[in-house]
Amino acid sequence: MGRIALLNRLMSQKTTTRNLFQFGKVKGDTGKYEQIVSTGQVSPERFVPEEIEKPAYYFKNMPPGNTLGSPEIKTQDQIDAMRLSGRLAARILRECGKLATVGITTDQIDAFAHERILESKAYPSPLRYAGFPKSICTSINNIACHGIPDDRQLADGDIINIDVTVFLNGYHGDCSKTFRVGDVDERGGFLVEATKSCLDQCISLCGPGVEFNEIGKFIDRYCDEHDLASIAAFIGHGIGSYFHGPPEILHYYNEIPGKMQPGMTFTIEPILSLGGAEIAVLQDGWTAISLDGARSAQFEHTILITETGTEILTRDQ
Amino acid sequence: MARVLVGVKRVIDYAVKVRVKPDKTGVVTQGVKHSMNPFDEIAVEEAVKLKEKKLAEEVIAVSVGPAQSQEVIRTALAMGADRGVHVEIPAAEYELLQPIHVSKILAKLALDEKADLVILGKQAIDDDANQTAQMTAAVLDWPQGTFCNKIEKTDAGLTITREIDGGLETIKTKTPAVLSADLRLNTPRYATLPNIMKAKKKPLKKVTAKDLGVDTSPRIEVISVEDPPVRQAGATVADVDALVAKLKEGGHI
Repeated sequence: MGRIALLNRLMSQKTTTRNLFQFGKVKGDTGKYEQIVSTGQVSPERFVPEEIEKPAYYFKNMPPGNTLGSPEIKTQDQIDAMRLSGRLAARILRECGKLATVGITTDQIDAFAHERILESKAYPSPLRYAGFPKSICTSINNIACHGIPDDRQLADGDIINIDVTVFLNGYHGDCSKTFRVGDVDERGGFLVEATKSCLDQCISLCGPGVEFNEIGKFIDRYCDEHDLASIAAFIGHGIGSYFHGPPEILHYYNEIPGKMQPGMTFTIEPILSLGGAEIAVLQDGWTAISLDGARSAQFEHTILITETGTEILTRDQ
Repeated sequence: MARVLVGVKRVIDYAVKVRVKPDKTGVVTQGVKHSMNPFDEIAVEEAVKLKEKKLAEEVIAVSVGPAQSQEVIRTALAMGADRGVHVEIPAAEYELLQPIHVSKILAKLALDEKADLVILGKQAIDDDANQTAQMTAAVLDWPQGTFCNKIEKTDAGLTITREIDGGLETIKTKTPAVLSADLRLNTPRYATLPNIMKAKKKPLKKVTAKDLGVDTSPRIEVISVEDPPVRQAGATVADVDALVAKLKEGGHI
């Protein structure tokens, strides 16, 4: 009971970064790390050349995609295109991960990712999606997800999730990893490993005919066993020529009907926390911060359901 | 069963340690985390489930309280309610608002909105009154199913399983009816980001008790609010004889 509490802050969006001081002491996370209490300076929007194919939302502000309805079954051509987008996203993510060291700012990582994506003749999907101002999401420590790159320098002991989505030849590929910066404490290390393992195991239980809710049921058991919480508000999603579409992948126990079929592509992206599952969205309208100050980690892949199982489109290749 | 009216109350979150104000006029609510009453979450979940089973067409979430009550209406909308009604009560009057007032408000709304079913949480965790559902049914002269553990729709109306001392009781009732949700009725869903975003666009109507013709003037006066007495430490005794002696000494036997 009471798990849904405090979505009022999401509703009213009146939470300012100053209010965070009342969130105070860390309860669930007893580790040693720098708790994020305010957001930094966001640099001006980066330029995208004329010749890069851009999604419709670049030209007109639109609300986020609708994730309800029947999932798309992709044709062979679409699957081939998704493979290329996925591969590029994975490569950019790997390169960004190498950059995540003490002293670099998330804005610098964003600048790098932006340039590399353009060089590959692709578009950084997050830019201008429902008004998001940057080309990747960078979420450090107690920021659950959708962190906006800014002028904060990475500190020794930080854990940072970098979420890369690219739009190439009309199709999106979406993946993320949580990287360790410098010397991360034991609890942080445990969290990162456990979250990665959670995603890997979720993917291995997928396949044609499998119920989507098996993912949520697994994550529920996994969190019980590892004394972690799954941040329920954020879901995986179908992906294709659209950034977010059906099906909805719920990362908590549910009995919503629906089965995976060959040709479906969707993401699984659990966010696991050392503390509670509740978050609030800051005044920038994006940054999701944990209410109890505990750290969370996230890993994400875009997967394809095949006739015999799954193919991880965003695997390291 | 076309329309379901669900009552949701904004209360101090169940996990918060409640503190009495130094002036003994009430408990500290300023700056304290508030949430939807847990039994109301279960009520909302049941209403949304009825809609998903196509047994209801529309779920209306209503909250009676000051401006901040809108927060819990939004949560109900994010869980799947279709629209909200906020009956705004000024903060000072809200301190002394009682189930008798709320039940008259809900009854009027149920008639105005042509509800077929009113589902409330069995009690609020701040006053533990366990009266509003019963009183609302009485005002409407509708049947009531309280402490619901299971709700099933039949051709004739509803078959309800209720939690009672000693077990479960099954009753049949016609609709319209007023029900109150108990703990084991269901497990409320989380609100996901897409639903939260959708909820922002759902209509939320604001009315006053006066608009509904209900008099909310206080019928009680709070004399004082105090902590329960501090428990005395217990004493251990060496053996049964010593225990009996101590009990005799204390005049207990």
